[in-house]
Amino acid sequence: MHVIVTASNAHTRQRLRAKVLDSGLPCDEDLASPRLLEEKVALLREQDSQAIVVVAVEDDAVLARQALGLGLPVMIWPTAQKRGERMAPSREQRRLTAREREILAQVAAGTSNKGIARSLRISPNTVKFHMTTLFAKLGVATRAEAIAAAARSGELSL
Amino acid sequence: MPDTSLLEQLSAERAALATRLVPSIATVFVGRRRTVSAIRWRGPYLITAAEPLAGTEDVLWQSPLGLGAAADAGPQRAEVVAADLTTDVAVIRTGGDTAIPTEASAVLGARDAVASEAHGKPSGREVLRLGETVAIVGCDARGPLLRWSTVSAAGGAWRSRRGGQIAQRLEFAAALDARLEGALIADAAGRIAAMRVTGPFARSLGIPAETIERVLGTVEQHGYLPRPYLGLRLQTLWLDPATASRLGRRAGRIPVITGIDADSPAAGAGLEPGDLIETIDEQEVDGVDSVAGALMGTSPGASLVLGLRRGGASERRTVTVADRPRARH
Repeated sequence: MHVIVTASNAHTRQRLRAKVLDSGLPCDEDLASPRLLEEKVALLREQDSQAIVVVAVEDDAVLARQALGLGLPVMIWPTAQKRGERMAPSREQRRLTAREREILAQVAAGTSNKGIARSLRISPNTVKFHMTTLFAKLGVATRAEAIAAAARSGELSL
Repeated sequence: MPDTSLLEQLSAERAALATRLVPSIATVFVGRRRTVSAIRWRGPYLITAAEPLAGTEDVLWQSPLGLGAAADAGPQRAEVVAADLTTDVAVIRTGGDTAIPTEASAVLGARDAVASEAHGKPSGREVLRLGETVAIVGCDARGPLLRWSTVSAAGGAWRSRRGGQIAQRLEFAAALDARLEGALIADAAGRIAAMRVTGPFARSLGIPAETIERVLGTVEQHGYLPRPYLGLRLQTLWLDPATASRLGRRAGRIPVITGIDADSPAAGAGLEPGDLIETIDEQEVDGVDSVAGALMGTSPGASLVLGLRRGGASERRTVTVADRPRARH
């Protein structure tokens, strides 16, 4: 049996992985997105006919649905939050808006805040506001980190 | 017998070196209160660190006071031509020549002799050795700042996390001081060898003069800094050991294409979402960062050979690097 743990949030994924191992099941890998899951399953199927089981968390239904769509058995793990434990932002909360992606692409091209404001016909303060939410969503403090983080999560093209 | 102690001589030499270096620096205002340091590089150009300036179009800058009428006139406006986040080099174009004022150059005899071989270029040397004593000289709104430091790490060329090619690895034993971001680093003979920037884990890094010249040369050639671009969105796929060995890979990770920009080089080369990128120019790549690194090491117009795995088979595609599309305004 090949067990794949899925959760879009890295922290959740780590905890889920620990819980799965605690329960005595093997845990062969953890994946973050439906697309990665699809790729991985395609690779595994290409390789052999090992049974694949996907473990997902209940508040991350997209991944579970994806696994079911691929015809895989899915185990849903409850995600009761311990009191006082901070909820990490969900994938939906972290996803960039179209406008934010547009702004980030301009940042990567080296356009100034004023230049971005002119081309999008918005005020420079609105650009700064977008940058602040962008940084928060990506969990970064600088432009260079924002570009790298967005490239890594597939939000910004190279 | 000298009539002064060695300590007095050393102190006098240090003070003399500082005096010679001060005319080569300037301060740049970022935001309302903060300043960073800058180096009067050559021609109309000031060089400073990119990160504090990224996103700004123009800045106010000022020479240390006491260097003549032009310097004492107060802050002047200048254009940020490029802020290269991959190398942390920002290029600022001032209205005039940043050449050292004549009153000041009288004290610069030794330095001019060193610089004369490369016209206008402040540095006659490009490599620092481990353990060398260096002066880190910067400036804030009230005047020059200086720290003596030691080259605490010196190595070969390296590539920054954002893919910038840096000619020499340089680290300095110096406490963090935001005002010295962009300060000049000179050796004991007063030759400007690098610019001080803040690296990961708040380390003091040096960006060598050679790298600064390369970025400035590109900016002079194009009028701005072109950014290499393929139009690929990627994510990193983790491979279990069995799959990795079946694909003949050393790394347990592989980048997968998750999206292609319309009208991009990637679209033109027939790349598709779902393609796994095994190699770039026959070098194994193991994730988004390594693809970014390989890309940033090129310039628009260059060709890259991508080794792809699609549908269980490997194939090669050649893609031409473009310049990242910029906003029209």
